[in-house]
Amino acid sequence: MPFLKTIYLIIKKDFISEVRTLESVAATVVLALVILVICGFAFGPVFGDLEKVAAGIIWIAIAFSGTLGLSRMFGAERENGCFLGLVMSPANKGAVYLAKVITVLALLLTVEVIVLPAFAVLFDYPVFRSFWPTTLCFLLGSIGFAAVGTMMATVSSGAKRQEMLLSVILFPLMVPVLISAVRSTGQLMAGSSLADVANWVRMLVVCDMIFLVSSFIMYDLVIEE
Amino acid sequence: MRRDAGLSKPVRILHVLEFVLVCLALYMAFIYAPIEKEQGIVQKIFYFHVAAAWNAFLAFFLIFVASIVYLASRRGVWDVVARASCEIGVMFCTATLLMGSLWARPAWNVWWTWDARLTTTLVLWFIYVGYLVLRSATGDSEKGARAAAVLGIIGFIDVPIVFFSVRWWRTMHTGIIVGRSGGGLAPGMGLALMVSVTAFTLLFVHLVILRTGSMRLSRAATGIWMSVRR
Repeated sequence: MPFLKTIYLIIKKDFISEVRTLESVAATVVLALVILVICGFAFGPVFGDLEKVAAGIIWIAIAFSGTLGLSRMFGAERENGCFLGLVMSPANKGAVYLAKVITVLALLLTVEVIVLPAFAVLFDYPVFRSFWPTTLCFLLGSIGFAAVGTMMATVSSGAKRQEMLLSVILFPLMVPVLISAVRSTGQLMAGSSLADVANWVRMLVVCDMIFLVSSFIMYDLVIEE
Repeated sequence: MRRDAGLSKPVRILHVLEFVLVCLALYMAFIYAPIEKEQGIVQKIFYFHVAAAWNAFLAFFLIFVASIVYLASRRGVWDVVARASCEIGVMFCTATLLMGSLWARPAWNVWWTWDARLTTTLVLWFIYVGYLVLRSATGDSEKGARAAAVLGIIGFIDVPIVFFSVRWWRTMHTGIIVGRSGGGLAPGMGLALMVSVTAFTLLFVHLVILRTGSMRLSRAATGIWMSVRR
């Protein structure tokens, strides 16, 4: 089966099963919104300098809820026996990896599409002061998250204490992605231009490439039983 | 019962050599090396702090190499080496952080500062503690060994990007920027540091050999137990 068709079919299957049950998306989005509200309580109703913490709050919501979504997604795959099917199929394992990354990315983008307007409304803060650069940085940060997240969710799926294990191994690896994502989106929201955050954007691209390539190469090692 | 605890001759020689070197390192650090002018006696921690940090990085590099060799050869011994190295590396990394904190208090007047090197070491500590958590969750299975090897490789590749991102993060933030006055060690200090680093490196090799041996024995024992039970 050609490479791209494999990717397409796996994504299609994931989308159909997700749309029918809303198993991962619903819980993930609700958790992200709850985190926003808790941050609202934690940092008080009146903010001094919201621009200093805005991106941090948004990325905390994305990272924590995204990790939950990841482990739900891979846990369900394993319970349904889908994982075993993928392992046994002759499909290229790199294609399986890329398909999973795209599915996870779609989950994260769904969360962001809901969380960003919610943040703007709840905190009365202009999230998209410059629309395209901000979108680019959120996209690059999410790609990094999806690249490492998919790999580590596969590594930890099937192990004991899977959910806890995933957060423990994922967050330290994600540090460079999180720092660059928070800095770049934070400065863009505060009114900087894309040129001001060029270094962070470069860092995000480098992280994304490194994680995507290394995981793509090694995915067949973690997927086989 | 054998009095040598079943250790091979080179390992027993290593025991003796290690004992002598550690004594020498202590002598060099506390008596031979001059007392630093500004920081005084506190600076003595430097000899052990740097040596422990060196060992931690050596350990994480060994995990990286052993993981690659394991994935290429699929020989269990490399998996055991990686795991042993991680346990010992995390121990030295913990020691580095604690000693650094003890030193930072009198030297910089804070227990902790978000300096690039400190923060990178802390993130490394978390990555490799995660590795140990993964190992304990997956047991001795072959799948667990492969998963851990992959984490050992990605974790090490992550180190430079963590370092650079943290450094940029710091420089874009204003705050106390702490420069370690690295230039110009007194000659006695340099020599004491070299002896200390050698002693620690040998200690690391020594511990990895012992831990690898004990883990292989424990796996063999589990194997025998499983076959008896069946």
